[in-house]
Amino acid sequence: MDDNNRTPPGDAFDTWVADTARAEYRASDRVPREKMWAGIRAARQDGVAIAEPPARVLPLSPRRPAWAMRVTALAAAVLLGVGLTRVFDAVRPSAVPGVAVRGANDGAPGPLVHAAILEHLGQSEVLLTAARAASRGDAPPTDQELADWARDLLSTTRLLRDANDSRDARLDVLLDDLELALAQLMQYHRSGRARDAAALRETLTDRDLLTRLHGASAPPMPVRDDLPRTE
Amino acid sequence: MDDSALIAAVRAGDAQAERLFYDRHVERVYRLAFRIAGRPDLAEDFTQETFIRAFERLPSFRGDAALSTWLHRIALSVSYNGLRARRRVDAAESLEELVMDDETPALATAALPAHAEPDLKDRLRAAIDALPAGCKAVFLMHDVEGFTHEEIGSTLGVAAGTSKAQLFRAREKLRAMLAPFAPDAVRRAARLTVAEGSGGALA
Repeated sequence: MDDNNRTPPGDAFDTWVADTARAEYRASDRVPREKMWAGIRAARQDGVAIAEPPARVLPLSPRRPAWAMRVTALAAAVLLGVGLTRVFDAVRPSAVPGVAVRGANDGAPGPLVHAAILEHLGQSEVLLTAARAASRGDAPPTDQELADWARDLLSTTRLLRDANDSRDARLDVLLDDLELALAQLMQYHRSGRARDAAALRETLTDRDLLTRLHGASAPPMPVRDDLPRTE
Repeated sequence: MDDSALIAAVRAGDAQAERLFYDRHVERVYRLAFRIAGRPDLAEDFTQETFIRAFERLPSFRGDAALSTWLHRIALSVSYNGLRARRRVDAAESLEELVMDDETPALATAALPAHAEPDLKDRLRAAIDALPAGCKAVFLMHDVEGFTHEEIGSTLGVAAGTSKAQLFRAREKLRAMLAPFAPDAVRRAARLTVAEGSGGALA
């Protein structure tokens, strides 16, 4: 390995594998450029997303422990927050007096969504901390409650990702990583395999996820923009 | 027109600039989506969604990363999430196409029929699909699509060193799985010996 940019092929074998893969592994012979452009234009005019089917909200178990009620309340807050914020945006794009409300392009979530995000990230940090400890053990986690919690947080993560709607790139990335970790946790719970535990630990470590969750769940308060300024 | 001028024009609603932005990046985005998805219909969907999101997000693009890196990150996110979402709703879809699935056998060649000599393309596909998700993504981006480690690191949100390590692991695994099937000239050039009934080994 020579520098930070490219690793040269180790030998003729690496070159042969790379060349063969380039030609034979899922190689596209043509790019349907005009067809895709037409689809993009049509979708943008209609406001339709193409790639991702709507997130499915998984049913919750009949017996509802206290944390599950909190998750349900959180999801409801997200939906309510998104709805109200969109109403505010539509009726009055400028900030609501006294509260920093998301504008059309200012990148900040509305106050209800903001509160829901903080609650969600805090809960996720607690769960993943427990999961990391469990993944270090030899036996797979058997705590069904932990798995149910992960499942519900995964649903809420997807709701929040949709609610964020690309307005905060850093939050997008954090929610993507969180979604991956929660999906891996559920996979580990289902399979009990060591490599699934390793994948979860790798996501937590490589992406420094717990630290980022901790930092993101206690951000500074939204700035009030209606206060008089002193020059 | 350089990237900053192009971004400014797109932000201003210039339709020609939007098309120019698309033309500059669509080939690489589509190829990447195709390598990940393995199906032209999915690659088309993911490419379109990538650009739809890019046009939506461009007003908030701050230039912390190169425009292409930012776009490729969206493409990867859309592709992986799209595959995962489809796995949830379409149980009949082939598992080998789902990159985030980690259930593929470590030695995929073992799953191939013993009585028939499979085509090299099948061997290669099975070997690459058997790579762990991280190794596979880095191998495809670096060795197949020509991304640099810095680009991969920025796109995947990891350090360049992590990208290098994943590539090293990917090459080692591919060597073990594919060495017995490499042409003799390649094996000689790489000074590989292959034991009977085993994977490849360095001489």
